[in-house]
Amino acid sequence: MVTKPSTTITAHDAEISFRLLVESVKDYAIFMLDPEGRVATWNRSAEVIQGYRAGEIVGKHFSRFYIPEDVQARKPEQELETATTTGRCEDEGWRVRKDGSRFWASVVISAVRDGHGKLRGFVKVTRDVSERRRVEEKLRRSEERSRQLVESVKDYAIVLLDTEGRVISWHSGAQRLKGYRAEEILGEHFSRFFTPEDVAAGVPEHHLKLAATEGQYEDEGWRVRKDGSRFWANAVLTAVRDEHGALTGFAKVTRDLTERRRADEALRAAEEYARLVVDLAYSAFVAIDQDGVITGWNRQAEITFGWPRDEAIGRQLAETIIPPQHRDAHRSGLQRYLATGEGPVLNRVIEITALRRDGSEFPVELTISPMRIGGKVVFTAFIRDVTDRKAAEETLQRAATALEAANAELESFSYSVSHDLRAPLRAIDGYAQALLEDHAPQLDTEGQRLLGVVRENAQRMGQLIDGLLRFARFGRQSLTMAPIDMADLVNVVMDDLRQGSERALPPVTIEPLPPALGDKTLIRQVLANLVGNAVKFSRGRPAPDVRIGGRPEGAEVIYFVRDNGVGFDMQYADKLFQVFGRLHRAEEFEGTGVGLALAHRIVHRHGGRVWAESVPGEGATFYFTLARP
Amino acid sequence: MTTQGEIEVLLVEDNASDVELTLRALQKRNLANRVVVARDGVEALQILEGPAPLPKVVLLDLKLPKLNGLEVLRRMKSDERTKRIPVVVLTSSHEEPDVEESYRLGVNSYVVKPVDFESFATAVAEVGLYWLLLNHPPE
Repeated sequence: MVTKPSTTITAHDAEISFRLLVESVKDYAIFMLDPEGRVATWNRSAEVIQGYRAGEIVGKHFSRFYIPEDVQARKPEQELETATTTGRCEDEGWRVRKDGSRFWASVVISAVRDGHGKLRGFVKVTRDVSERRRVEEKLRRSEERSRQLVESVKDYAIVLLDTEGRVISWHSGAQRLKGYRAEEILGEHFSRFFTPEDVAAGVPEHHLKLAATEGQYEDEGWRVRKDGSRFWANAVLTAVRDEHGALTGFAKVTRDLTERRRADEALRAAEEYARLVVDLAYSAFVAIDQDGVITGWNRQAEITFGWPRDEAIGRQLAETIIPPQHRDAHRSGLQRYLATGEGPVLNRVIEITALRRDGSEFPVELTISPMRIGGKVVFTAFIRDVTDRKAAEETLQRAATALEAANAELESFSYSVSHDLRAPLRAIDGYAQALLEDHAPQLDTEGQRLLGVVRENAQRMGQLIDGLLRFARFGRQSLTMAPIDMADLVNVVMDDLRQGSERALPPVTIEPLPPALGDKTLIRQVLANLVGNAVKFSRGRPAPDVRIGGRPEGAEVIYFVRDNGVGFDMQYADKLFQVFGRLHRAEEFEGTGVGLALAHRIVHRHGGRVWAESVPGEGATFYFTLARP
Repeated sequence: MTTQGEIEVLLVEDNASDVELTLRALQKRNLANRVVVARDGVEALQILEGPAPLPKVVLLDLKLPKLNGLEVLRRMKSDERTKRIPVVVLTSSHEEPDVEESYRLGVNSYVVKPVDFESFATAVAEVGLYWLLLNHPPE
């Protein structure tokens, strides 16, 4: 019994202490229910949270704290049952205050049993967590918005990394940019977005470190997609910290700049190209603004005018490269263009005198183009020093004059040959003839024969001189080009040959002849020589046969004249077309040795070719080409 | 060489051999006794512009001292008094470019030197001077 009172006191004291404790708890409604669920005790906090005073609620069933839907669903009873069987029931949900307003509550119901295990009632602890729920809801919505925002971002990959750099969030933009699906990449280290070179150099870790220490790190460089292809990226890595400043991870925003980079590079290349074109131009390039101040000066301008670029830029053009006597014209021309838009010297090639830094003047050729750039007039000029060309032109002119003089001399030489060389020949021939006519009786047969030989040779020399003159004349004569009906021309030549020949011509076969382009008079001469030769050299054959033909080939026509005459040794073919070049002795075949040389010269002047093929004793074929009309 | 009466032929030629050979050719047909020879262009014009009667035909060499044949021809053809006198040019060759120029200036015919009678006759025939030949019966 000794202990009993003390125990009672102790139990009593404990109960008082407990009550005080419960009373002092502010944020929790702590009260008891009897086994049927009726409110048995009530505390201050319960009064504050639920709105009932103790007198109003003790003895009432606790179901009135539930919203009607839950009451209907017998949730209060179920919770008591759960607490009865398992000892405890936890729940979070809407509850109703006395005034009907709702609050979000976190509730724990615990069964209370005596020493014999008999159910004595329940302790119910209710906490108003509306505020927390509101915050949570807000956070949830905000996260959802962020997620949607991130998802909707198309051109950026926004990726969250953990503190080690492993991917912990992924979205469609990232998938589009880098090619990985979320399930492939989540948990992987972000270094796989880097090039192997960067990875080997420790770049990803370096970036993480910089972001962690600086808060943010921005970088442009090559990144790698899942398929291995590379793209030029702008990446911003931001350290993410919690409210205590502890690093929780990184946010990485990556943007594909390949297109921009490509455009930048194209622009840079275009600029570089333009700069190089101007700078490496063989012509001097000079640009001036509308005040006549030099704004552009390339390398060749430095060489041409003797002013380095940095000295020339900013100077007045007139005082730099224009000789004093032309400066007024330059200034007034500039003013006139700006006032009226008229510029007679613009946009065409002009030749003027320019000034070097050392004061020397020299001829230049230039083109000035005005252009409007950004609302301002700029004049650009490409200038070429034509000193050398002028000198060359003068040399050429002198050569042409000399050639003209030489031609005139040749002309007068031909004239002399024609007249003065012939005069003694005429005398030899004429007096020999007079001797034969008047003094034949005094000469014996041999004497007469010898005089005959004298005459023959004098006449032959006359022919040679004629041939030489003809050759010189045809060579100089200007060409009158027109389409030629070759079949027609061959017929004309045949008529000439028939008339000029005492003997009948051998049979001549004329194949169809395509037309050609040429000077009819001269080509007639060519045909006359070739056909004349064919007739001459096949004469005396048992069955002489001459054939004339032609066929188009490419842009030209190849004509041939073939005979079955004596032919010639191909070894001497090059001699054929030389003046006075003969392959047969004069006694065998008459001729001056000018005909083929003349034909050769005429065809060459037409831009054609002449050649011959032959087998001695079997005949020869002469070919020549002319352009197709 | 001037003979009495009318001049039949004026031969303008500076080369003595050519003169002799030409006269020889004409002589064969008894034409030489009415031939006057001028040894250069100036002399030819003096004869043509002088008081003597005009020749019936002129045989004109082109290359002459002082005044050349083409110039003589040009003056003859531009003078009312002499423009109708037939002119036969004596050439060294058919190939001479001067032949063309002579025709342009109004020459009537040409003969290649030395003047053989046949070609002379042909040339004269061309200029319609049969009578010159017909009026001289062989001696």
